[in-house]
Amino acid sequence: MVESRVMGYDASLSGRMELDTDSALVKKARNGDYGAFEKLFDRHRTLVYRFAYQMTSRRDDAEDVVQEAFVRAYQNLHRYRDEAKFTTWLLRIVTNLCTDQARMSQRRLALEQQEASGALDWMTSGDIEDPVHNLEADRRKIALRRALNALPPHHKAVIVLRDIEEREYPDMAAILGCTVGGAKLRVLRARRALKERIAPLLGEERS
Amino acid sequence: MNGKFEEKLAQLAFGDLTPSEANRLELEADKDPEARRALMLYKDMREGLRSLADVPEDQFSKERLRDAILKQGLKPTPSRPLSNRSWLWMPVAACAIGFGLVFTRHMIEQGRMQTEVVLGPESLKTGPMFGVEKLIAFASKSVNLHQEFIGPMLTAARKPIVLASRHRTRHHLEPHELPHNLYVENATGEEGDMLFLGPDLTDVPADTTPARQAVVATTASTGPILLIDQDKDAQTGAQKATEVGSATNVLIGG
Repeated sequence: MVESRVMGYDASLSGRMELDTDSALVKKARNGDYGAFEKLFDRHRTLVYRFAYQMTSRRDDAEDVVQEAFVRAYQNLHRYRDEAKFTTWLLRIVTNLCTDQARMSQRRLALEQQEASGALDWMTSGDIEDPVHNLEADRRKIALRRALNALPPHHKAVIVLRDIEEREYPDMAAILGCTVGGAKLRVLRARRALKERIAPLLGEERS
Repeated sequence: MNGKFEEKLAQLAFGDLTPSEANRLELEADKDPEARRALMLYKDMREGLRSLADVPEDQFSKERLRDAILKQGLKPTPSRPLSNRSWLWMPVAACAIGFGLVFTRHMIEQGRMQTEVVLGPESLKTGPMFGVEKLIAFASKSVNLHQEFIGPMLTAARKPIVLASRHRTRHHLEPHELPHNLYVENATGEEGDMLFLGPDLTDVPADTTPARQAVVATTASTGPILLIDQDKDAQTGAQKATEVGSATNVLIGG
């Protein structure tokens, strides 16, 4: 009796777990169950938002990216293949969106700089308007953020994935659409590029 | 400090090395002030990047997402417009062009096929009709065969004679396959009424069946029919050929 109850419990539990996998929800959503897609949204929106925020550095931009990513995911659910994790597939969409968004931001920034008739050098991070940010740690953080934002999107994406979001290399490779070795190489290059941008500031501080 | 060493230092700072590798490299970096500075810089970078992990809280709602999806349509649609996927049309266009070329060529050749090459009755009467090495004939699906004896056939082979245009499936009759008696057969096939030149069907062994399917002419053909005689032209040395109106005029009673 007890055994059958345990077995029954196990069966129902595994059944529920089976039903609740991303793949199962995707399948349901594909068949028109919008609620299943909303479950996927609830489950992964924070992950996607975190990455988008790191890439855009602005909450409203990040939210736009996340929304667009989920809209695209929904519209392209039929293209999702079960071989990849749903989050990997989703983050790949977000990476592409963020790259596009970064290009647009760079153009926007260039225009703003032109209008201001002067270059906004990220190194001059001592001029922080908000007094709260005058704390040394925050100043360094802002400087680093600016250095990160100044990186090309492909460098920025790997830094965010590896060094901020701390994703594993195989996962990164799947998101970036490259090999694990390729992902490692990209990380090395991106770190070097970031170091070249941040070194003068940190060097000044030390001296 | 070379680039490779710097890469190693970065890996060390970001924790990508094994403990033994890390220990060895730390000792190495201690001896080189520049390497030490680079290592410190990478470590600072790592700490700084980790401190960036905090993000402000989002203000998402399912309603907002639902509105956005509804705005673009609930049905899953291709993510990119067709114009951005022009590469997809390239193989399709190539196939279409290829098909068009083949079809056009086929149509042109169809026009050419109005002229059929047949063996003339004079040759059959006078013989030796099949003084050839191979009789190249068509394989054809035929029904309602009716046979008429035309004349004797010899098998002293020298040159091949092509009996038809190249669009039909051909069957190469070896001299030993050739029958001694030749018959003409009326048949109704897919291409209309047809005349077949072939052996006496009753005498032909089963393994020489292809010889029964030697198409000579299509009577439905509206174009001229060439009769190739065995005699050669005295001036040119080429095979003589005569144009006639239809196959019916040529073979029946030959």
